[in-house]
Amino acid sequence: MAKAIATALVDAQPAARTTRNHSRNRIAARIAGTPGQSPALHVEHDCVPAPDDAGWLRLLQEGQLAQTHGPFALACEDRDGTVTLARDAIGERSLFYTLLPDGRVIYASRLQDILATGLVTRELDLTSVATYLSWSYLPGRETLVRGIYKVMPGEVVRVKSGNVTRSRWWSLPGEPEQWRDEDALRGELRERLETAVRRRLPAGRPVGATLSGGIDSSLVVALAGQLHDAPVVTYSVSFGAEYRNELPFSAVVARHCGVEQRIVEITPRVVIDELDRTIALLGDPIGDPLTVPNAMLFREAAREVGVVLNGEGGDPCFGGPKNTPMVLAELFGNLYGSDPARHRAASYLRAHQKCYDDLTAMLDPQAFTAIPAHALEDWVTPYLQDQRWKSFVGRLMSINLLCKGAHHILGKVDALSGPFGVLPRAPLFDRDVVETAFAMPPQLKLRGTVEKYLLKEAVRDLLPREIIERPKSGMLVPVQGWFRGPLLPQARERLLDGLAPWGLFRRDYLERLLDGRLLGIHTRRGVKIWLLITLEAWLRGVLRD
Amino acid sequence: MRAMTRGTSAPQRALEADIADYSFDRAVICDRARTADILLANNFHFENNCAVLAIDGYPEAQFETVRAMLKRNPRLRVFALHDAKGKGCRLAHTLANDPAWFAGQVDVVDVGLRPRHTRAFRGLLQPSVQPVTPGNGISSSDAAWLSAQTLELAAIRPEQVLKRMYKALNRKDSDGDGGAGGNGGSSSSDDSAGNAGYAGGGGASGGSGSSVSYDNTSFAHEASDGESDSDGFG
Repeated sequence: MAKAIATALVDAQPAARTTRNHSRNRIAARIAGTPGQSPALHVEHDCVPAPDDAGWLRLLQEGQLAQTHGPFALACEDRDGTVTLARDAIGERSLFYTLLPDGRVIYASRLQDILATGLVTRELDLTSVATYLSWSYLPGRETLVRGIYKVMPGEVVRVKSGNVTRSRWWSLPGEPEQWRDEDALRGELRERLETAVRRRLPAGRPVGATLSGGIDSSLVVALAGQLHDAPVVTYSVSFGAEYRNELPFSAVVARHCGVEQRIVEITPRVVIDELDRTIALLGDPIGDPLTVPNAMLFREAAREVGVVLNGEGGDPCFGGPKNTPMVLAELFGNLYGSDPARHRAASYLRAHQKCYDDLTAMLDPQAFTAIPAHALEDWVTPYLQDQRWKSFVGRLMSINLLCKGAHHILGKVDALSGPFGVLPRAPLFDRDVVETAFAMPPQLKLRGTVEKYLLKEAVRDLLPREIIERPKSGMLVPVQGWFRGPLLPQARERLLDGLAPWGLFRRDYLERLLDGRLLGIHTRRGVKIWLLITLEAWLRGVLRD
Repeated sequence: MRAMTRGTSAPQRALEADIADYSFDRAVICDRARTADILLANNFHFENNCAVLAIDGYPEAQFETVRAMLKRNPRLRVFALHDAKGKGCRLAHTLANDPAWFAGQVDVVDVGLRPRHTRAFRGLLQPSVQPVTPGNGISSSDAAWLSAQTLELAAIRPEQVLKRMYKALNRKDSDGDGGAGGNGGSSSSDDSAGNAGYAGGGGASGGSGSSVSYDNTSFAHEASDGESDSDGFG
């Protein structure tokens, strides 16, 4: 390996090299893995400081990728036919690959580009379909296309002659033997937050920041406002006067921090007009109703800034929602004799509040029986039993970071910002910040019922009290309102005419969902319709394209 | 609705030590285990970020742990759910005044069956087996009614009870300071029509700093599920 890398340094063709600057240059689909191939290196990154090609090869060769700071996806082709793929620690950049029957490998930043080679059978993985319906994203290595995989965050994948070996260059630290005291942790966290924001500021140029008015985006804006040497411009979403929005909170923050605020109005018309284009950008479907709003914010920001900060990462790192329901499920949920491990897994899946409990009713019987029994529960169980975390909430946080952080939040941000040429930067997913977060006792994340307690304490001086102490609600999107009224006809057409012919779903379920006739108290109709129209748009725009 | 399938030999696993360190936004305390089971079997606790206990110590294995956890939240919202019986109609008063529960700490909303709710269920009344004396949460007129007859929650469709509970919890949150919200993300927009909200007093307020209010909305009202326009989390 060492020798091959050295050769690559000399032999790699300039055209095959990536730009050395921070770039949104995606790694285009490459078919590689033949002995005698020309050595090549492809990197998409946003690291500070930025290694040059020789630097990347040295870091890879010497197992020193931990010296990098920031997002990257990397692919190296050696003369002996070895292909090495690697991704940043947290999952800020994407990298997909598949093996061909002859032992070669195709890799690319975007799953769509692998499909476009025409060398992959476009076959749906039905277990992944059920996973998507339960999680609203795909939390692991598997994609929705059978045989196409993700390089996992913090992972190095080597393929030689069709054999795959995987190793990790970074893992989330487990719980320490002894916790440090609150003051020390708070001080360290503040310092690391400031460093993480400072590291992401484009010196001398305006920087954008998305601002919801929640604690996470607000603290990033506040720190950027203090630390940046050029204007900070914030971008907030409004869903229109007829729906609830968070503008009063974001306006307070923008005023308090003395930064400009641009408001992007996302009407139902915009949502449906932009849906297909937005979902077609996603390698994995992500059934989060913020996909279109996120894309629209990036589009707007791209008009005036090149870097957009965000507050993503606060929930999975510092103790966001869903922990107390899981605690309740632990305390009460096993009164009825179910297997404890499977019950815990089922509760975790149920906590996503998507379609986990609907799978039997919604999936076509043939599709349903093709999915191995308990496949979803068995997939998540090892995470729920990982003994590196002794505390229950600590373990939940680790899963949230490794699954939701890496495969939902960051995957979405990466895919939706790229086409607009802006660099998304997430200080709360900074590796040092993450490591500090996981060095905190879980009781300082969820303190009684107060979520993200220590994060709030670390930035209390930066923000108005009403922001620090505002109840957590999540970023609410009026999907139920949209599908009660303005978008119902489009939803009907997309589900009954678009999705039903795929043979994955029972038509009677789709009709009952659309008509509001699902059984149950909280049917979460809007969320489920959104999940399904996203899938339909993805099947049509990515898989079938 | 799910059937109640409570078993006595459920496999138990030791809980992680940190679990008892947290608290909850809300608690429903019932006057009997059977009512708690209706809520638990239908995942009410999980959907609403809400502990569920019966006053006589159910569920036994976690009872004291959960009660101690509840006391850790000074902004806890407590709801009392019960039959129209003497014991049940004193439940909220007991919770608001008994030091073993929440005396002087938090307010209690009585969302249970009281005589005023029973008009729609006349055919389902049972004769009372013992006289009920006024005081401690029961007015003279209610005592007279409860001395003559009773009505159990079991006479009402569980779905009806659950929907009413969803509305009660969400209404309380929106009327107050916002609370911490449930995990359902619902807002108050669908919850206002036709509901009287909570009436304080009623002759049964607590005397030591915790007050009791009453949910006077009908049990027979066809409650909606309380889903708002904004049910999609980002």
